[in-house]
Amino acid sequence: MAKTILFVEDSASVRQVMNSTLTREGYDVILACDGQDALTKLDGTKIHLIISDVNMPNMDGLTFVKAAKQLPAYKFTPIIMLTTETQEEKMNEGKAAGVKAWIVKPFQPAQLLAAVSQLIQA
Amino acid sequence: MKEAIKFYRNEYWLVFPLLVSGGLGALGISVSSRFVMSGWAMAAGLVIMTGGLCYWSRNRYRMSLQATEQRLFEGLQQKNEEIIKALQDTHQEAVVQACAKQTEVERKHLKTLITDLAHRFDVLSKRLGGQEEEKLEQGEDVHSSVEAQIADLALRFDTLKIHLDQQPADTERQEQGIDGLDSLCQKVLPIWSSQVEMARVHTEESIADLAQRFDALSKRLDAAVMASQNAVGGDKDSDGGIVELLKDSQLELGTITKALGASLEEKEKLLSSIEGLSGYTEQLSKMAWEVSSIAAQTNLLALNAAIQSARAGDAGRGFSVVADEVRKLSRSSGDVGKKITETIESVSEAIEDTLAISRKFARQDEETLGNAEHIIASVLRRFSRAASGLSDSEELLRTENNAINYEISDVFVALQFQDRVSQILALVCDDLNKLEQHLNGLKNEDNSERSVNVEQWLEELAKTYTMEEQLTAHDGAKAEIKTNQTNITFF
Repeated sequence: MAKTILFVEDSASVRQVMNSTLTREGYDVILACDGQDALTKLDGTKIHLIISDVNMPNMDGLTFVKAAKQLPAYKFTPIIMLTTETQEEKMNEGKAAGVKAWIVKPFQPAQLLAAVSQLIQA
Repeated sequence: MKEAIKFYRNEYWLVFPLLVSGGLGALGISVSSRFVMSGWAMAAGLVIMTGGLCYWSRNRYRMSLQATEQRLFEGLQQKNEEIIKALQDTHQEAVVQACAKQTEVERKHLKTLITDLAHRFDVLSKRLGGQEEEKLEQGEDVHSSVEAQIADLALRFDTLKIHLDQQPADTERQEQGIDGLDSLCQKVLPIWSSQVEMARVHTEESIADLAQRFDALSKRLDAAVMASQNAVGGDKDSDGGIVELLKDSQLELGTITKALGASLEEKEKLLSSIEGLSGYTEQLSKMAWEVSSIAAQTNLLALNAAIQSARAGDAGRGFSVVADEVRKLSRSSGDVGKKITETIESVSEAIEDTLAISRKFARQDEETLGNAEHIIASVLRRFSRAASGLSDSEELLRTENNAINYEISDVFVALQFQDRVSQILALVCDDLNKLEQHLNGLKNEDNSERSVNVEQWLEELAKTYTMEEQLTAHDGAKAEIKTNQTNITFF
């Protein structure tokens, strides 16, 4: 059975790129355009991995991650942050919030898929 | 020191050595009277020595004064150029940044400096004027050159002074210009902001569309490769494919040729059976000949019986009737025997014809079978070659597909630039909006407090950056984006 990944990103182009990359690899992908939109997608559906951007309108990625970790169904879902953000403070904030990996854009699809595979099997 | 200089300059110093030499001469006379040496000769020697010493020291002093003068002049000239350059820079900066106050401070500072320099040059000029007579004696051309340069410098300073005096008027004009700039900014900033935003949105839509198209392209290519794999039968999972079809066809066509061969054998058997039939017709002809022979003998017997009955007279009349009937029967039997022979001949001919035709067909069938086997083998060979070619093409297609997928993967990396550009543009837009709001706020405030804290503004802008490249660009360096390696940190 295909694993489901929730991808949260405000940039339509990166959403498209990630959707293509993940679906080609056989994952089911749920797309959300910001943190708020992503929270509405966490409706009990089984999600194996969450990939989220940091800087987004309405609700930023770190706020979304903290909110998601409060939901019992998604408390142990591994989360990857995919962002242009390189500040140490933000990375530490993510680590404290329970993020498993921090990937800085632009990413190589193959390397991202390797990280996804590693975390989804863990 | 001043007195000393004045003393030397005014040529009074000659009195001093003369007095000294006179005194020393007198002393020499008084001393020499006690010794053998002529007093007048000693006095004259002392006077000449003292005079020479004074002349030498005077020349040394003049040379050192000239060197100091030259150094001072060069130093001042350099400083003057620096100040002019600084003034130009400051002036330009003031216009660009509209820092009227700073310009005023700079202007005042410069004015003080220039006034000071002018004063110093004036003093120098006067001092040089005092020494003019002496210098004429030593080096008229050098002095005139220095004088010309100083005059030029004085002229330039005068120009500078006039320029600086005009500056307040310029500053006023600049302040007028800043008002215009405010209104311009208020109008133009929202336009810039909306233009940048429009460009950002347009780029985002286009890149998303581009990414979608690349994805579709990749998927279609995958589908084509898959179809090709299935068609060739290279895939282990597939149960069809041209290779399988070729094998099946070979097997089925082999069965057909075998069936045709078996049918040909059956025809051969039939032919030999028909040939066997021709042997029966000979026996039948012989039997028909025997029937005719029996009929002829019966007829002869009936004829003899008729002769015997005729001899018997009336008693043999009844027998004569029987003999006659027997003769008729024998004639009929003979006719039947002839007919049988004729029929057998017809049958024999028919069998011969059938045999000939059958042999002809059998030959044709054999040829047809041979041709069919040859054609089938040839067709299968061609099919096999085509399948092999297809298999090679499929392999090539698969390799190309992998290469294209790799390229598309790189394209996906490159397409992510849009996200970065979008974020950079969004920050620029935000800053433009902030500037617009700031200008709107300033418009309603008192004019005397109209100022922008540039350092604070830049610091706040720097805090909004998310990428290292933005910070590098902010510091004025050229930022390069690395895309070769993904930066992944696992926690």
